[in-house]
Amino acid sequence: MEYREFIAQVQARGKLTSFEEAEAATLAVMRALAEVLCRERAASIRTYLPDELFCLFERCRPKADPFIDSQTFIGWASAGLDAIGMPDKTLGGLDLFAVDAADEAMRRCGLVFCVLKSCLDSSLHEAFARELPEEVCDWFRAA
Amino acid sequence: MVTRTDAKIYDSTVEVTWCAGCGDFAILKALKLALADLGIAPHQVLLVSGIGCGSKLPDYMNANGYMTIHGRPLAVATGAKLANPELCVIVVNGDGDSYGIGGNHFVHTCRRNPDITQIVENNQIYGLTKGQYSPTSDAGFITTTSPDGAIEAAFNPAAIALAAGATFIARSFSGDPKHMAGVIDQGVRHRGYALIDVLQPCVTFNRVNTYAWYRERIYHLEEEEGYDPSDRTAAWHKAQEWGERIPVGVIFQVEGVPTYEGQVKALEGGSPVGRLLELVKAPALEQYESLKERFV
Amino acid sequence: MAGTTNDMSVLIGGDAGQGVESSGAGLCQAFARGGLQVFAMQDYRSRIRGGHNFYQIRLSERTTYSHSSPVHLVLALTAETVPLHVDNIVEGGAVIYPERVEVNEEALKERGVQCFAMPLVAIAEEHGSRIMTNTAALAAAASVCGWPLNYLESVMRDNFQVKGPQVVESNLAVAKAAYDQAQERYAAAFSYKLKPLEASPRMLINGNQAISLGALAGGCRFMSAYPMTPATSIIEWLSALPRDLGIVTKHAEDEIAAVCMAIGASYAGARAMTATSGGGFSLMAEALGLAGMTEVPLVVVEAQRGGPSTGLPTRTEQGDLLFVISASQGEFPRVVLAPGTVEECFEAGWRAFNLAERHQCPVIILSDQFLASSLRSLDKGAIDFSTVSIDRGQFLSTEDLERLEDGYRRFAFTDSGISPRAAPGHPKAVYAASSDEHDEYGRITEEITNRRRMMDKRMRKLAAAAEEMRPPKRYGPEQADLTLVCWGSSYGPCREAVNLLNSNGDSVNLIHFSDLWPFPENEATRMLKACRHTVAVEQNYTSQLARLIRMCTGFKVDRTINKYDGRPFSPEDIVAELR
Repeated sequence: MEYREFIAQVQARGKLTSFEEAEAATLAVMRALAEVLCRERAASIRTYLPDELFCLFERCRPKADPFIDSQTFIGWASAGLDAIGMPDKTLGGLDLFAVDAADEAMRRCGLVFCVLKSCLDSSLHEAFARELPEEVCDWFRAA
Repeated sequence: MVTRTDAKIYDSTVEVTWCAGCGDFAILKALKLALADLGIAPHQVLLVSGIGCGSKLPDYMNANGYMTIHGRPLAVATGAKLANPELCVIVVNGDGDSYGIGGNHFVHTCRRNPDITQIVENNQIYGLTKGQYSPTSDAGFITTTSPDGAIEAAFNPAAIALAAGATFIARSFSGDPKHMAGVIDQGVRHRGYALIDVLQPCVTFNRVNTYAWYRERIYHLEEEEGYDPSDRTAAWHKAQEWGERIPVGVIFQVEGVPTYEGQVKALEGGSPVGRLLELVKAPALEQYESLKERFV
Repeated sequence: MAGTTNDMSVLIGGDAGQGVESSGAGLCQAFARGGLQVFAMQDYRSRIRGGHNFYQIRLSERTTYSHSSPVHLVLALTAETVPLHVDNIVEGGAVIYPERVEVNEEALKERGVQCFAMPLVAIAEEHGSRIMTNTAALAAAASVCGWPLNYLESVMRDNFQVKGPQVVESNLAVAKAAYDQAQERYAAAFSYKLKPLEASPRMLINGNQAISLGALAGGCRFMSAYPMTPATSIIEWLSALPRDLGIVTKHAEDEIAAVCMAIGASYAGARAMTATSGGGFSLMAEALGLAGMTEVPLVVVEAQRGGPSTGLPTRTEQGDLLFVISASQGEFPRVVLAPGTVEECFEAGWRAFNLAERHQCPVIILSDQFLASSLRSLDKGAIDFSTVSIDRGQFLSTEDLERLEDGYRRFAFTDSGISPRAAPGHPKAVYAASSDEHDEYGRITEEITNRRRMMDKRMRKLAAAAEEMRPPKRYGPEQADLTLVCWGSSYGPCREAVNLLNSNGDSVNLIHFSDLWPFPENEATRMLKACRHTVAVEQNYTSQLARLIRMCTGFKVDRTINKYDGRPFSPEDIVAELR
């Protein structure tokens, strides 16, 4: 799949407002994946990904950090969300969007996983899922 | 010997109110892992925190905890340590709490060298009060209280700690919980004050210093050939490094420097806590009679 | 001329830098060692050179609780000493002064005051060195009063031994020369005499020392502080104790660190204390709330001085009463004690810890510069360590902890409001405390029912503490035309004023408050209502005790006498105000 098509699919599936937003979400999730995939696993899916996305996996370590959990994973995706526009005291001073940031971040992970899965050979899905942290693997399986 | 899986004994049922993706989750996990690896039980630990998002950490952990007031956990922790040196005292607070309002206690604790480990959850912003700049915010950082960009130069914890005499200075990144656990482990093992400045993104309010931002810049000192953490001059240079390249790992470490409490003569025969327990059983009032001669 | 025996006051006046305090203290010791009862009041400035300082020593056969305005013998080390104090010098009194100090002899003679010029500097230089001028002065003073020289000699041996035998010998030589000369020239003309009494040597002790001794006896083994006049001598005295007594002292980086360290130490299970003055206490206000909210016992000594702000750093005032009672945001129980004498200071020293641990709250010992630094002679037996008890209230011992069931609740709701307290370190009592509102387990919560119950629980402890508050005490006849109402260190001057007035045919008594919070409302009301005419005597501008009484009981005192010039009331000041 071509890079632009990958992003376009993320945008379409997620009903995101712009290409840029979909791109930011995709890059964030891919970077998060780079944290949890070991170099070997990353290398094994090279052929399935457009170069612009695979280059993010160049920083994969020989062995991934086993203690990265779903919270840290989601942190990469959360950062891209607009969450500080309109603070609301009943939300602890957070913007309404910030409150849902967790869910939104999870949703975006799901979107990217969905498109990623469609790129990969389905025989690889389970092995891939097993490399992911707790909960993140469930999101991947469900996507 | 407690094994790694036993980190669960530190788990608490209290509902965590941190934003999803907050770096504090990883810090909490790393701390549990480190304590479990060291075989320190929950009742042997005293976590002292200040005020801030990260200062809620003791509430989320099964261990003794004291969530005190803004800027003051180091002072409270020092008092507790002097009263009962057996306790494993760990201070957990944020960059504002430690380097801003707590700045005075921070500098003096570096000189004092009590056997206390401090983990600073440094997100370069004030999170709990919703996004004002902090002492470690980079110059130019725009927030509601720095609408034209922060004017002051950023506080440099490593450099100041080094200048003030700290004997263990380390930095880590919450995106690397394994590395963090290792550094915390070393910090707790270190006999003396250990500063662990943890760079952690505030996913809600800090749009500049994000996971990606840190990841692009940090590099591990452990992987730098020839870096010697006992070299004060080398440490000084590393402490100045910020911006495009940010070193994490143990920046400076010197062993064998006596701890503060190790040099308090009045502690040689027992601790204030221990002595009081003895006095309750046996008041020994005769020991005071001779003091009257000082007034004659 | 009528004279007296063993009933007079001596005043030493000089510049800062002349050693007025150390000389005065030495002279006091010389008198106390001969069995006299001593009360010494110091007046000094916060500077190292210049400015007038004086030391006023009252001598008597019976216990005196205050200094007294009339002065019989003045050692004037500077020219300004005489005009500053001349109004207080009695007829027949005398001024001893060295060469080069200009004294208006005519003016003095007109008042019937004798001039005893002495070549003190020359004597000092001849037998020792110029710096021993004070020694010569003290010896001359002792001499004209007829006080045997050996007492002063013993004091000098003790005080100067650290400087070496040569210095000791020189001082003794200077003293003898001055003593002999003064005796020859002036003793016969001076009719105020001092004679040693058959009595065992007494202690000379001030309020700070008494509090420190009490705290030590009460099991305090941790004390952190930041130096601040007039409280500094507490940490200094405790730091000088033998190390094997085990009291850990810490000079912290600021008052906030000092109080927080004490709180941390107490949290860990030690008896911990801090000491400061008003300005330092202002800094500690927030931390006080931390102790109150997390129910950590804490003892704070607040030795008041002239305010506001930097104010009069070395002078006295009673200006912080209402501040101390209400300091810190929100509401939580605390106890405020305001001892009036050195005996009460000793007792407050250990009693404060029992109160703090029983009620798990901050206890403030409110003192002031006058009480903190005035020396009073005290029989050794007056400090009785057998009266000291260590009562930790509901502190869980190791045995108690072993027997705990699961789920220890540090802030458990109880009828008394006091929850059994565990120090961290036992596997069965692992808990977190929080300065936020919390539940029984210490976990942060804003839940309505819990908040109400937790506030009720904490404030309920005030009722238990109130039971332990002593009612105000009376001194003087049970019935009187006029009642002085006072608190803290004003006790001494008020008591002496009562004696003066009654010996003159008046009908006066006094009511003294030493336990101020929780305020002993019922007893106070009862006692005050039975008075015919009440006059509050306060070392402050706004009559804080009178206002407190009114706030708590509705009772309005008839009149107030206020002194806010930084100088302590003398009995004569009070009598004069009442005329």
